Amino acid sequence: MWTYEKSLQYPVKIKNPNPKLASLIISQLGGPDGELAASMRYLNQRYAMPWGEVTGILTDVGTEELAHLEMVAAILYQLTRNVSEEEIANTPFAPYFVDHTTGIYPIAASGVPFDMKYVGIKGDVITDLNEDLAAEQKARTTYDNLIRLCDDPDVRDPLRYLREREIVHYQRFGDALRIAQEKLDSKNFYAINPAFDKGCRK
Amino acid sequence: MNQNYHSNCCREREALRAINFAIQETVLFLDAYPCHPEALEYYHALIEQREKLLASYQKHCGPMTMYGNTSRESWDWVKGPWPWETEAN
Amino acid sequence: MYFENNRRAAQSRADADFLRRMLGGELNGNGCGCDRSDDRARERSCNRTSVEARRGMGECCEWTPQARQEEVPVRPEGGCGCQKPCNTSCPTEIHAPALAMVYSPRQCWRKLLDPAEGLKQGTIFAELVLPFEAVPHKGGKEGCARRPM
Repeated sequence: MWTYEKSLQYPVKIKNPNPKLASLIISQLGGPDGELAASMRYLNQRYAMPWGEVTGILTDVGTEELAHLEMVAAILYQLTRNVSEEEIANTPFAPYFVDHTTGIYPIAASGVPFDMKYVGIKGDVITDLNEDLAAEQKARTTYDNLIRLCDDPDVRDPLRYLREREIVHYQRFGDALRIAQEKLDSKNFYAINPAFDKGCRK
Repeated sequence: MNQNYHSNCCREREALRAINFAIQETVLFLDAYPCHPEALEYYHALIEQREKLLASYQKHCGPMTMYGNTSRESWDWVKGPWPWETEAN
Repeated sequence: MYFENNRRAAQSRADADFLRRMLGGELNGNGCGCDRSDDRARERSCNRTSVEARRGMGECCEWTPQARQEEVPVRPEGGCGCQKPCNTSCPTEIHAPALAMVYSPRQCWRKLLDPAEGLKQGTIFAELVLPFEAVPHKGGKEGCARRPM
């Protein structure tokens, strides 16, 4: 189960509200490559994994993604604090404001609400780990793009941190894949699905 | 509790953040390399530091988890600031 | 700041020398990390034709895939009870990469940043610090300019 620690993993301290920037960063909350998708992906994939190291990596990275979800929410919260209707009215944030005011609602920058269709869970060890490697790169690229569009150093700093975490997670999923390879038959990695064919495993 | 928040509590909170982060990184490394003696030793050194820092923080500043409300007079767990507010960072 | 001022006090079970070596990336003893003070290690480390070098004896070279070794390192099942000696060699060769698969190099436990600096960088592993450096394009400017963020 989960214990909540009442502290952000990395500090978020933004001096200047900016609803327009919030309407872009929200993709890392509810978008296809955002932190909610990541946490749902890893925390749900872990049940099918037959080896403790891989289950451990998915559990611990998945839990960290929930912490990142909270950080993105904190960025959005601070970007939309104490803003007037005039400051919102002619920005891309206005349609979101109509439906959600300045509440935090997981949605993509495109306006599509969070969807489990973004999350691949195939129940096959090699397949799921490859999904995870791709997911971390997609998240990193999204942070690259947000950093390109952001010139407020208070916002760039946590974005930079979150981007670096994706790179570290990528290495860990590479490690998980190597662990799986070592437990499979290298003459044919695809002979069985170790998540399902338990009788065939080493 | 809240009147202490902007003095030593800020520094203690930042120290805890750093040590928690180092533990997170070490844990992820150990998940991938569970037999690594140096990593495991570093983990234990960090855990010992964290326990001291956490005990001090929760005694002076407020609970970090729901298990850490050290006051017998007040339920500080529900008191602000909350982590997403600027005052907590 | 707090952590730095109290670093000595905060040593506890790990002695000061251990943490210094750890944080300075000067690990030795388990064959992990680059011991540049050892002339013999330096000599043999980048000699790829040497069988000894291929057997993972503390290379300081860039990782590249190598030919299959005869002995496969022993790994305990499902987490590590560590009754058998664990393989902590690094960097490691890929054992005869089979087709239709991707391979990931083992990470070395070395070049650690202290917790406060690690938090700032986003990782405690200096080798994993890979910042975004692209300069924003202005007016369709071509070419690649890199500068640290």
